[in-house]
Amino acid sequence: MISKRIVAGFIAVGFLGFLDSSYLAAKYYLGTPINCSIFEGCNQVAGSPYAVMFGLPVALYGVLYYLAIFIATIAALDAGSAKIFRLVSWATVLGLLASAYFTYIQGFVIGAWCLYCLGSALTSTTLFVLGIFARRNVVVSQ
Amino acid sequence: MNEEKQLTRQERRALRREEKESGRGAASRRRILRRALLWGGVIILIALSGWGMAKFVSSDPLNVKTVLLDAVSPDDWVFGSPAAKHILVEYSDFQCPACGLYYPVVKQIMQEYGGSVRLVYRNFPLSEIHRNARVAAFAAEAAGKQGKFWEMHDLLFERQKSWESSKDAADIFLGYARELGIDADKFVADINSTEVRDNVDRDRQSGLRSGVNSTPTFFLDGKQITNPRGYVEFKQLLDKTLGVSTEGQP
Repeated sequence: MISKRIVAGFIAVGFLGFLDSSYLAAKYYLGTPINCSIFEGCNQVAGSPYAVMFGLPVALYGVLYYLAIFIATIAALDAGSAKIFRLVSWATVLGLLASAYFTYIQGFVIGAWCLYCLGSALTSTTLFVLGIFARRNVVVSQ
Repeated sequence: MNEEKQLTRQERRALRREEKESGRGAASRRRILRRALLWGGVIILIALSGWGMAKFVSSDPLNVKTVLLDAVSPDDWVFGSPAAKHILVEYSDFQCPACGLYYPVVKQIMQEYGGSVRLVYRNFPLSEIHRNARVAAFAAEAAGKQGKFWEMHDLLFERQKSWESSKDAADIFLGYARELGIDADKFVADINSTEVRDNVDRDRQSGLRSGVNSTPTFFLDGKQITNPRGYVEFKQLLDKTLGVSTEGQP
């Protein structure tokens, strides 16, 4: 059995992360990032060389990651598969590590904070914590 | 009840199996429908939010166009021919990377359109995110007091990378002042003067009044323009404005 609440948390937080990173990705491709705004250090961060990996913006990897979490959780729910859900819960470790790395880069290398990137760090950390509960929950109820 | 008794065991079993199967058929049909709805909904949700996001970003609500409220005054730093009819006002921050990228573009534009466009530089230091932006603005103003504003303006942008994160930016700027042949003692006194501070603050206040919230922000003949992406777009924009206004003249 999978706890409904944790599944709902995964879906909601995954979708939130998807919205957040798709904003950054859309901004990368469509926006006019060539502006220094009073409100955010976003452009300084999003305009830095760390914002691009293997030729693609980091935000796009974020979109794919959150989308995968979102869809896989729904698939687990649909198939009633605790196995898929366990896999999803382990995948959140990836998100946590990536977020830790990029938060470090923002704070110690670039020296500017990007609000939306911090938002993504928050959602991926939440997913990781939910993942811990999910695994415990699945083990207990099996 | 009698009838049921009359059925043989085999018949009863067959009947039960049939009932079960038809029930399963309906249930599986319901299940397929439910799954189709679920996945259809997921796809629509993702597509809609992706589309909405793209639309939201390209409309950019933070970038509402405004008009310039403070007209060009004798206190402003003006570059270009006094006979030029058009005025390009730039609110800028010497430490802002985007402003640094626009610097050569604007310079090239002014070389080409200097006869018909005047450039006005106004300070809009984003000191919240750029530690040396204010002192750089002071340096330019102080150089201006000795008639070298534009020379210092150029040096600050050209060497932005070498002072942006420095802890002794003021010392570096003093070096630039010496390079430009500026009286060092007067420069130091001016950089710390309240007059220079007031000038920078006045510029920034006027920018805030006109709705400037990012740098660089350009106003062409009093109207804010969307930052052109590079020289070619800037040129096209100017050609359009200049062309339209000469046609409009009697």
